[in-house]
Amino acid sequence: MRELQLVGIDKRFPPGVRACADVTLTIRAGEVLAVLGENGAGKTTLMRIAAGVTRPDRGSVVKDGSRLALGSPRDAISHGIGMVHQHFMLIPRLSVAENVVLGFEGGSRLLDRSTLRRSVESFSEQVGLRVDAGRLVEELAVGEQQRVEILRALYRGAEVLILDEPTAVLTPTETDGLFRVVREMASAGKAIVFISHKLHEISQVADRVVILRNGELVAERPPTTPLGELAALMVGRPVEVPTRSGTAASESVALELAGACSHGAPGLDSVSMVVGRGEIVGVAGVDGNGQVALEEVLAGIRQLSGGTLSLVGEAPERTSPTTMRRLGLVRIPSERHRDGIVAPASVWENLVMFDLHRLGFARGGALRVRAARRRAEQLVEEYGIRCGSIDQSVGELSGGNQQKVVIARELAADPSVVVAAQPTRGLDVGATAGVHRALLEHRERGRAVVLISADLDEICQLSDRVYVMYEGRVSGTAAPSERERIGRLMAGVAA
Amino acid sequence: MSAEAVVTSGIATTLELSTPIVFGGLGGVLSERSGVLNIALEGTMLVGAFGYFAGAAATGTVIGGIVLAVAAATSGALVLAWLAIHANADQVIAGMAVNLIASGLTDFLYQAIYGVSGTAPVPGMGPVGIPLLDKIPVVGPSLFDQSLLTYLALLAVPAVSFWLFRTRAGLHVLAVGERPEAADSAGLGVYKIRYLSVAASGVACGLGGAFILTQVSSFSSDMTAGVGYIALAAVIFGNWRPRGVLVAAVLFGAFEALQSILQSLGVSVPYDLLLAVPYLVTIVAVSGFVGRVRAPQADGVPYVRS
Repeated sequence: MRELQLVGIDKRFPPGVRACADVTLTIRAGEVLAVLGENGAGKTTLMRIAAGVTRPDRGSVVKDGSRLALGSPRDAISHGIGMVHQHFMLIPRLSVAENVVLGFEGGSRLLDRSTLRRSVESFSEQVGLRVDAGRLVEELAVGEQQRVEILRALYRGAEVLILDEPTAVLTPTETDGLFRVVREMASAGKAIVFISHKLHEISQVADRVVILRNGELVAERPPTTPLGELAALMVGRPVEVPTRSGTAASESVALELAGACSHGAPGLDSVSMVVGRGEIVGVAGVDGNGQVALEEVLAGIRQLSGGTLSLVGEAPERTSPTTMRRLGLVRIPSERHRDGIVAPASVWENLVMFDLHRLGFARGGALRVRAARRRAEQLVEEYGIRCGSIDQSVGELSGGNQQKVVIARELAADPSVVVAAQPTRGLDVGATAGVHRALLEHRERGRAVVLISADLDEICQLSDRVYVMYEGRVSGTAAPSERERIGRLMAGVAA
Repeated sequence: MSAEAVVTSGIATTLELSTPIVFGGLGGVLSERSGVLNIALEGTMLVGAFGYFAGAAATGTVIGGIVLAVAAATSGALVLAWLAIHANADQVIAGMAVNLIASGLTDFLYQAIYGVSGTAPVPGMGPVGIPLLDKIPVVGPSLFDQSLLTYLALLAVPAVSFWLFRTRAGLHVLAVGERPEAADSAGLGVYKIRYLSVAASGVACGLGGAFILTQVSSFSSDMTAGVGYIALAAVIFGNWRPRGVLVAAVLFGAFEALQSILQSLGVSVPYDLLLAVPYLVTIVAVSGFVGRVRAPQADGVPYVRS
């Protein structure tokens, strides 16, 4: 194969959302093409069309001049087009070898486990992606699972390999490993498509960058293009990246955990941390290393089984969300849809729901609707929440605007501590900048922020100090400039 | 009774009582490993029992009975399959619906065809001794003097196990039952595999129902009497593995046999309590006291192609 062309691809989803608008694109053998765009820009849809998962309304996929009929992923595979989806298509309870060969077992009706395993292992060595083919997929770390996905695509004979946001789930070390693999595959003559919305990755891995916005291909650039320019192309207007100014003014302690333990899988194992007023303390870590336990302990949802938690000098015996809130700690929850908003309720109800009593909107059991709505109008204005009206249900807003509702509600009371857990997950560049700005302003006002995030860029950009969590423990502390050290701590490597 | 006679009859009764549980349980494993939750084992076996009766009555032969038992039970299973796979029905409710329909329909057909007085007993299947082996003391008359269907059930266990875990087709069934979207993207026909698996479960249930009928040679309403639910318990207790199903079925059969032996020895034990044992054991099994049992990930979840 020399090149794969997507010609005039058009795709609409009901109701009237145009995911791809007449996109024409060439993917060449031996190069890494980065497809950059905000959430909802149509990157994934476009590539799902190339991989036979989704059918276009118009347009065609052309390989070396001949038009392909792609009715299913299997058709695409038979033409050498493979895709590694963001949510892996692996079967956890089957072995690596079984996952790799599934549907492509070859002649025999019988499966001989050891032969299967040996042949997958020798294939994996041949292409330079070592795996232990006998292990069950569910026993593997996420990075290894991704390797299995890539291996499977190659086993099926992929010449074009599409990777959809492949770094979203990886540690920095795993990311570096992936980039190496991607570069090697490209020099071996494969065509690689790398879907991403993380700008800084592009220069490390891509040969060419195309930018999609609202379903349209808006530009093609070399990977050396300044990040600001790429960001502006993605968003459609210049984006300011908010940054931290000055050093933290932390004379007094706002929040302290000493030897905190909690049950859970993983829970907390003797976690100690201090958060001062006027600083943003980052808690870095790969998902699933105790961050949820930390978030819930701080929010008063989960009780400590050992150690102490003190907040502005008080150490409540039993915590609850109500006591923590009363003591001035609020949370921007990691599970926004579950814990952050009441999706079917209106914008104004969501904006005032936690503060009805404090603000005097509930008197004798009756709601003072007019006053509450006025307050909501102010917040919508102040935080730039884009909604049709304050009566619109929050569930209808975009992810970014939903998060603005959460932030407006939580920060409006000027709490002394904000626990922001994965606050920009799933948000695009513009909305992310808005969230960062709000957190930085809170810090400027001399308040404390605990920023729990798996996004290392976010951690380094905003934090005054960084704790790294690994398997429920604090595996180390670092300055935000020590990016590599944080990465090693995240992987549980002694740094 | 001599001690030897008690042991012999105990083992023989256990195997006899285990046979329909093994068939039903294998049916459950086949269906659920492909991702179709099968509460309908009871009803499917009942349809199988009726099918045997009708077939044997019409042809006067055992073979006629078995053929119609399998055909009828497979049709019953395909009703469940359609509800679960294409109508996206809640599979618990769909299964219960099949059970209720089976109960009513077999009763109705029996009375409509054979009248209230019924008909003469149909040919059954008595024990067939295996030459030489059945002469071994104790073990011989208990293990090697059984219905042909019991031998078939015992042979079916390793056969299904081999098919599921050692063949390409089995791997495809497992894949579809764990993550149909992954199987689909590998080019496997999710719907086809599920239909075939549920049909295979119908075949097994048909044999189980036939066995129940061959023991008594006449049909009566709801004559499966909960064996299908015990088979369902055996599927869970056996961790969705054929060999596990066998262990569970023998265990449950042994409790029932124990009850009848105790009764014949004049020891009075509350009958209901022993009947509850399989369910109690299953609750213990699923609550994680004896290792962890785990259902196929997509068990009971309809697959809708995006």
